[in-house]
Amino acid sequence: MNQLRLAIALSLVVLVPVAAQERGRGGGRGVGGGLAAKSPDLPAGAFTASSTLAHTTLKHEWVEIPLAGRTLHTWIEYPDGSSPAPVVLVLSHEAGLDDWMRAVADQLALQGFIAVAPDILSGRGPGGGNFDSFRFPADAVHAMEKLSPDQALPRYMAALEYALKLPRARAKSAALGIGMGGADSFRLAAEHPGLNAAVSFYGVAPDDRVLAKITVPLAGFYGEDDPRVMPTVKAADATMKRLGKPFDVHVYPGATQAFLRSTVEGQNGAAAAMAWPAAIQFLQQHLN
Amino acid sequence: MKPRLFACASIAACLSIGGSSAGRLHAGAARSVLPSSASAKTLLSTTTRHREWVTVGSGSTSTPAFVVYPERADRAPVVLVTGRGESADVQSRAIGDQLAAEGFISITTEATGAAAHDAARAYAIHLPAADGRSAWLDVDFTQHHAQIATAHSGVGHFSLSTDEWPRVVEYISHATGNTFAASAQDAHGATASRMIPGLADKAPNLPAGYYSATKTLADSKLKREYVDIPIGDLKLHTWVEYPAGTGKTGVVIVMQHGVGLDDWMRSIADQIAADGFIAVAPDAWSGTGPNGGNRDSFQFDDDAMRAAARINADETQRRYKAARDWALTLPRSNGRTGSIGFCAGGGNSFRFAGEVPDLNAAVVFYGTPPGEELMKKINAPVLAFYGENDARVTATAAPTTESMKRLGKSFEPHIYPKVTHSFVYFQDLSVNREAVADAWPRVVAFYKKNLR
Repeated sequence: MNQLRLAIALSLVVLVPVAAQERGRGGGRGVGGGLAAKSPDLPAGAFTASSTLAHTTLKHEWVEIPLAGRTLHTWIEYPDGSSPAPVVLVLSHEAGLDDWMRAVADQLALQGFIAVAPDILSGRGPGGGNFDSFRFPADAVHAMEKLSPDQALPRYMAALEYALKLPRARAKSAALGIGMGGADSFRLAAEHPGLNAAVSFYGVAPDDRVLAKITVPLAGFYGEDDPRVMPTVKAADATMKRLGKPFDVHVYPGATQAFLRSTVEGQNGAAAAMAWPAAIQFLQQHLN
Repeated sequence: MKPRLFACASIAACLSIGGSSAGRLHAGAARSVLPSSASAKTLLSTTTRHREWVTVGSGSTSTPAFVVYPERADRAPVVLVTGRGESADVQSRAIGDQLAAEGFISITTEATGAAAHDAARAYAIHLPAADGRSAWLDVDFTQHHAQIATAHSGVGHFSLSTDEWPRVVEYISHATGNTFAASAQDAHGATASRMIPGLADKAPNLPAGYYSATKTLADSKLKREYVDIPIGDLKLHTWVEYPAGTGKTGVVIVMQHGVGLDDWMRSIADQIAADGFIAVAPDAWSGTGPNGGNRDSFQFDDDAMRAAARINADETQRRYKAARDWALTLPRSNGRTGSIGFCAGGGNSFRFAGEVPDLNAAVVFYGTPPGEELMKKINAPVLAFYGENDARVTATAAPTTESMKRLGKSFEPHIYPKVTHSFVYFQDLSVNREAVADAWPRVVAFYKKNLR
């Protein structure tokens, strides 16, 4: 079913963007339009994230994962039913674990994965607080700027190890990161050989030394109009080809950085409509 | 195959990591190039180093400065960069970026005069990441000449050229004891920051973006208030913000984007007030909320947007007209009025110029034009901005230009390549930030000309 959908998307590359754009405009209604409409098959956009989260009927919880004398505040969301499911670790974009990131986790759970989204800024807020203790989004962004990969990766690993012990977790896991988290996703794949796959949405690709250590399949989804990221992707693509390692590179013309969040700009809606199902199919292929 | 081969997969990568074959530099391969006037903008928009706008000095010497940090764990020497000549601002900042690639903290200011320069240097050398040493690089882009002043090595003179650039770097490195070049890491495209640079930073002279808006509003020192403007039974909930001082000035009606009067929209009002005009930003969805509440009475953005569908275009114009009428009675109003709008508000701002023939200036960010009957009534000059990668709206730019010309109206469109819809709001997409840096000073100059 999903393979079929992907095949259709790929064969109708020209038609899909048109359809996605029409949906994005909400049928031409006045103000608001498609900004306020979430597609059931895709993650929420910037303006539908909070309501999507608030209205989810899936089981979800905050857990405190022990980590070197403190705790890692972590959002976990489960797929419907009670059967075992693979784990997808969600790595946060530059703004931290905001509502939009948790809405991405919600979408992953909706599509059959146990989504585990650690608040990577746990304990780094004012007074040792978590993401929700920052007064302004800008303050969280600045805290994220100070977080090096060496600090981030142990936190993500602790969350992954915790998740794999959950009663419903099957012993299959992947990392899925967005933006800065996309960069961390591939780094995590290099450091944690237990992963089965790693996905990056428009994250900077790591250098050759990191790529050389990676043993799991990678998939990356990028906007062509992303001048910071694209050179690193081209370099990594060449390296992975030279090393004979699997790296599925998807580049969407006219799409930009953050295309999954800002869905009505440029060709971002079309990119999201093609990239997300491809990412889900990639995860299913390697985790089922 | 050597990793270096992969580093130059594109010009952007070469620029950001340094593509020059600088064999003359004793401390290893150069990781910087001298930015040309053509490459400076690209370099600034693709650099991955952390950079930010700051305000240095105080009182009359208060001035904006641009700081770029090197990617190093230890402390770094500081270089103050100043420049003269055409597009010196952009080129000087790009040079600052390249000095950061060589391990320096650079601070660039457009201000002239010893007091401003001292303030910028003092700011930088007191940064926690600074090691206390500093140099001053003054560049004359017209004469292609660079002058370097340091505390201990006197003044050095260099011609400004790609060939000479490594010697400039070497001279500053020697004078400030900069050892970063000697410990050069393997150059590779992965020196790209894994984070969007400057995502939450705001330049003092440019509007905030998605992530910096709320803090910008909270930090503003300007006088502002919510007022409820009566329109019959309706109370139009309106954010009003005043420029510093007490003098009379023009009024700008701020017309909301598709998300409504959110924090970002109010931060735009804040910027307009900071730039010297009375900003009046109505919540055009006043009264659509639960129990007749306003936009801020909705729990979720998307609920507000759906409910707003019942405020049609005519009603929206009626509300903005009432806001303008009210604003003209303010003691500080000089009697001149303008409009500005974004996205849906851009279209409203354009139409407003036809609905209110007395309007003095209309600014349209990625908005569509009114029909020709209304267009005929426009007297105000219209300044419009488009992103090339915004087919739905930008397709209207050419026919609008033609119609406005035929009708004898003043219309100045700017279309930015590779730029998207909502480029002022989502400055992190594509090269949108570059477009904002070009567009906003044009807005301010346009209002200064027409509203004062």
